[in-house]
Amino acid sequence: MKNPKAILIALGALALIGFGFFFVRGPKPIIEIKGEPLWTSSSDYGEFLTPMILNTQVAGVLATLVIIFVCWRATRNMKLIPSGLQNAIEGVTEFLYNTSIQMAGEKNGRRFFAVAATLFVFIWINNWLALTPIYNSFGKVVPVDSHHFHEEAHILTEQGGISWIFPFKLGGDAPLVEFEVDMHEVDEIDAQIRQANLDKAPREEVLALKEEREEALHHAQELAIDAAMPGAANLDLSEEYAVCGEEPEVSVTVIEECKREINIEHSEEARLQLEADGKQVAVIYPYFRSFNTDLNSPLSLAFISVVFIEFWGITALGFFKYGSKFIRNPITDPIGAFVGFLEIIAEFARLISFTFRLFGNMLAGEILLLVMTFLMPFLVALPFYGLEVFVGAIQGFVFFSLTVAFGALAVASHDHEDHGDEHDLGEHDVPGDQQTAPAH
Amino acid sequence: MDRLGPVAQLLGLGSYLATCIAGGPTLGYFIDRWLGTAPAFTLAGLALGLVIAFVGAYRMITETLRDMERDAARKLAAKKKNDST
Repeated sequence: MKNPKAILIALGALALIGFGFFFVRGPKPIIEIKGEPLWTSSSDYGEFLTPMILNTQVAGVLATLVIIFVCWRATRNMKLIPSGLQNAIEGVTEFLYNTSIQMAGEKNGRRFFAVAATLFVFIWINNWLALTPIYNSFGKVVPVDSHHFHEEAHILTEQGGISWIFPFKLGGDAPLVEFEVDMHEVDEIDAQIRQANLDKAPREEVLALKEEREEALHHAQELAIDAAMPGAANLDLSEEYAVCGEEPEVSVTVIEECKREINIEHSEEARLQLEADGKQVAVIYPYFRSFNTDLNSPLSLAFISVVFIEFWGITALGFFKYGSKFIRNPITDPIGAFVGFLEIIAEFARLISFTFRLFGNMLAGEILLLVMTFLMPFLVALPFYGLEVFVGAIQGFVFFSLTVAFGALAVASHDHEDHGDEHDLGEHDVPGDQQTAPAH
Repeated sequence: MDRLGPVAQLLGLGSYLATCIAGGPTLGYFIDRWLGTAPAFTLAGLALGLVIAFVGAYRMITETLRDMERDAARKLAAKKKNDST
């Protein structure tokens, strides 16, 4: 008993964790990989073209505003000897600038810096904003019914005009419902569609099959919702159930099936009862969700990066010289042609690896935090928050440095004898370097 | 901080390898499912992915090594210059 204070703190922490684990554990989190639409256009142009506003986009706009505001505050009255916010921003800028120069040389580093640093700041601020409590906590309530199907949903309690997930377990069941869809019929139609495609069946036939699939899926979803409607099990159905067991020699599965049918019949009743209690089965689409946890956002950033890399390459070497990296005459130079073909694919692989690195890291972090706070609320999730702070900055930096590094690769001439000019020049960079075109 | 340049250049190596090795078979699988030729394209995709992963990684590493050598040579030249003056 050397240090009673430390023991007291440790005990307090344990008590807090225990209290959280037993009493304040939230409902099982619903993990959505796609960005959730907050608004969808009423006119329908098909699955991919219907205009909608996703919560990740809203978060992106918020991050942009935050960046603009911080930069405005920092540069409002600039001083020669910086302090405070101005100092911090200058520090970041200088660090990025120096890294860029170090990696790509004086001239190219300056060219690459603007684009790469913009990407870094945007990704970084987005990732850090995503750790603030306004993200993933409140949003639009979307009731689950046969039109908006979800495999999992929460039971929301309405109190004082606000719907929320009652976090305490004391109230009985964990407020999560799972709807299991019987995909049996849909799979059968899928097999038919595949067969029809293989047989080169007429287009109308395939379209009809697809429509049939859509209908079967919708029907199966409706059934799933009806079967698992919460509260249906709590209704007093013993009299109805009694019918199921009456016939002799019925197997267990038949009884289950019979009970399920009865449940479906009473699902509307259960729903009404739930609504009378001020509850509803719904999912929450948060208004703000981390920008990079939707595959579209990292993909668009990767596009920006890759398009700029190609642009730098073309402006530095000229269109044909840059193109000769990829396309060569297969008769005179068969090995070069093959390597060029690999280069083309590598270019696309680069785009995909840009995308998935950022997306994977951020989504994994988000899920990690969700799961940790679900398993052990209070304290235990804190180190993981620290990890995410680190990962958020590092991922931005990786994006930055890879853009610069690939840019340096793209502007480097393919022929080896051209490469060492910087080495010859030493540290004094001569303006009007022959290797690169003017920046503007 | 001297090592930051090379390190930053190789930061993406891991996920590049992973993307190539996982992406090739995935693409092949979907082509197979579309044409019903399993497992021909899946295996071809795997082979292609491995080759591209190797070539890409090789190029990234040689590029980084060359940069490092260049830096070292530049430093040596600067030092000689300082010594002579």
